[in-house]
Amino acid sequence: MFSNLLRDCQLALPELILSGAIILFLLARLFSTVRRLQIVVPAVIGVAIALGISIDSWSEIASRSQLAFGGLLRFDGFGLFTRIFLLLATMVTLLTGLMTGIPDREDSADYVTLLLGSTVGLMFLASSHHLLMLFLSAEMASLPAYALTGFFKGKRKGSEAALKYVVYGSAASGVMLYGISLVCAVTASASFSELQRVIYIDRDNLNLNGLIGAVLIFVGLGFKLAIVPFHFWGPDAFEGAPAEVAGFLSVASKGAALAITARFLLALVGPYSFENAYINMIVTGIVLGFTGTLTATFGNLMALKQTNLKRLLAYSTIAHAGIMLLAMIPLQNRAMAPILYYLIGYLPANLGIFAAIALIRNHMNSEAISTLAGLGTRSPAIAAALTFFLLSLLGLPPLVGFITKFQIFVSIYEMGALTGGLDLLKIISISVLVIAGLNTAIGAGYYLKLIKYMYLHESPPEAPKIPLHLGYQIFFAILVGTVVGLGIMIDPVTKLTRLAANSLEVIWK
Amino acid sequence: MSVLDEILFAIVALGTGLGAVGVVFTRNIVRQAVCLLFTLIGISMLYFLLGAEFVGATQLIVYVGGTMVLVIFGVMLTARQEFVTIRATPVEWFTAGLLGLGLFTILAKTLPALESNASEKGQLPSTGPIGVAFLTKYLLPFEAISLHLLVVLIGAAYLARAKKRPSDLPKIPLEKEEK
Repeated sequence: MFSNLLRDCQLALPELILSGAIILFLLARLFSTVRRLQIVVPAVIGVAIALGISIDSWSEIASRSQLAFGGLLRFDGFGLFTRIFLLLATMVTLLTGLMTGIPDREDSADYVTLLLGSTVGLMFLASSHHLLMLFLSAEMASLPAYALTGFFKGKRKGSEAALKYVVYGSAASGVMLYGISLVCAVTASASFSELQRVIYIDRDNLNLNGLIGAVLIFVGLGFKLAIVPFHFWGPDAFEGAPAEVAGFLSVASKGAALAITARFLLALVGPYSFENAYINMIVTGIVLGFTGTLTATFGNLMALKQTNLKRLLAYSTIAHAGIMLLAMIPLQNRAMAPILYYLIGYLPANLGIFAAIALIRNHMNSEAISTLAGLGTRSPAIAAALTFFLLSLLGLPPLVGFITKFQIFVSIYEMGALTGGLDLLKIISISVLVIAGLNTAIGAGYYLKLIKYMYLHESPPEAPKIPLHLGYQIFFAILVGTVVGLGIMIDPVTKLTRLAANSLEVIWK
Repeated sequence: MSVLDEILFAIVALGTGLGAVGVVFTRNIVRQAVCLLFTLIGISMLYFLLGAEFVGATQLIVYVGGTMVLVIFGVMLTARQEFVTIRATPVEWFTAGLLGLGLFTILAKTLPALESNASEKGQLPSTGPIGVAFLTKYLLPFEAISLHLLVVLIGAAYLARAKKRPSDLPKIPLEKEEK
């Protein structure tokens, strides 16, 4: 028992370090000298240690899947990849906060505690193998995020956004919990290993309870992913939250939610050898295709007419979530590899944009798109970095956004082309490809509009220059370098993502 | 199920249901809170009837004891005249009714079809086995919840605390209030 516990704790060491850091920062506030320090710096160090340990354990964990903590968590390459991604996102968010002065010293301990608490929840979420752990870690991740959304206490918009997020979030959690209890009642177990028996009892008999339960859980996950029609909290929460927090929500929360959705759906469909796998796959694929195309199209169309930068990015986040759902349609291990690639490409681009928005807000006191006017002449460095990030989100070669979109389209195409004879899959794959292609074109509309504002519009006469210290020039340079580098070093990254995705093999009891 | 069980269930279920109806149909917010209290007590009684003593006791302590006291205090402290009576517009009645009907359909459709797993296994585990499970098989969720509650507590304290802004600390650049 205890040797097992030791091994499990070793596997979850990064989470334990973050938890330890949270408690340490709490105790540190007992001393008046420490109380006045900016806690973000030690937090960055803590996250860096956890990150180092995660990367170090890659070769040991990545190639095999193991269940830990009595089957509640599952440690494999996919989970480890996502956890490294989450730690990186937290690190960049903390550094952005350090740069923009949100939080100040007085609030830094609270901010760090909430952010790290949310990260621990997200990391558990990404490795859940049990519905109980899924629910618990989703709550662990969400509740601090609600508080972070309202981090500007004096602001009416921030508080309103936080309240909306709490109310909708709790409702979604309730729905998910009801789904979980239905699924548990059907399978008499909450483990992911049993999920493939949920939708169909046998080849011909649909299990209505199980299906409703699975759909309700998907609704809960869909809320976390902000997919249409459960997206309405997204734009409001993003607009009210500080840009730093909004970046974290749009990258880290979404990444973990995508990972667990992938795990959940793969477990729901079951392994190929399973007799119902094919029919499960059709049912799930149709749901995914429908919600995915709806989400991507709606997000892109709404983004076109936004005037607030954060609202625009919220809709762009929604649209990207839609594309990710489409990427899951093949519902096989290897189809998840492009999603991982997408996630690490999305991280520097999106967090970079939010960091730039935070900087602009600090100097211009506004987050409207018009603040970008003339940025190319006022602050050429930030404008250039923003251009790279936006073009990557749009998917222009040689940036990373292109190669991820390309890999996703290829994997959807392969599903239709290689499964000879199955016409339904072919129709799904072609229609999905057409819609996804159209969406990329719509996306160009608003991403290019921002770039046009920066370079072709006159800057307003009183608009200030935005100074960028050397440290933050390096910060932006690294983010831009990542966006370009990941787009060029395709083979090594693809190898890593494939290895991680292959570890998703469904574990049987 | 014995006859006594059925009679008790009928009484408790009736009380719970009436409490729930009361929440919906009374206008005064304090009355609504009290009706909700009876509903929650009724639900804990249902747990006791099922033999799930631990869940029943938790329901009493957490919802009835903790949450309800909080709700009533919150209502009494914050209720100004305009918030004391709650009036729903026809649109709100309609959407809420639609949602309720949808939920009821799902419940009515799913619940009768489920086979009962519990009754075959006899007595549900009481506090002892649950406590052991918390420290063995379910150690991780138990500890995770502890950490989670700590984090949430800090978050709540942050939101409730007044912001002091001494001059030696850098000012937070706040966004301009729009409109």
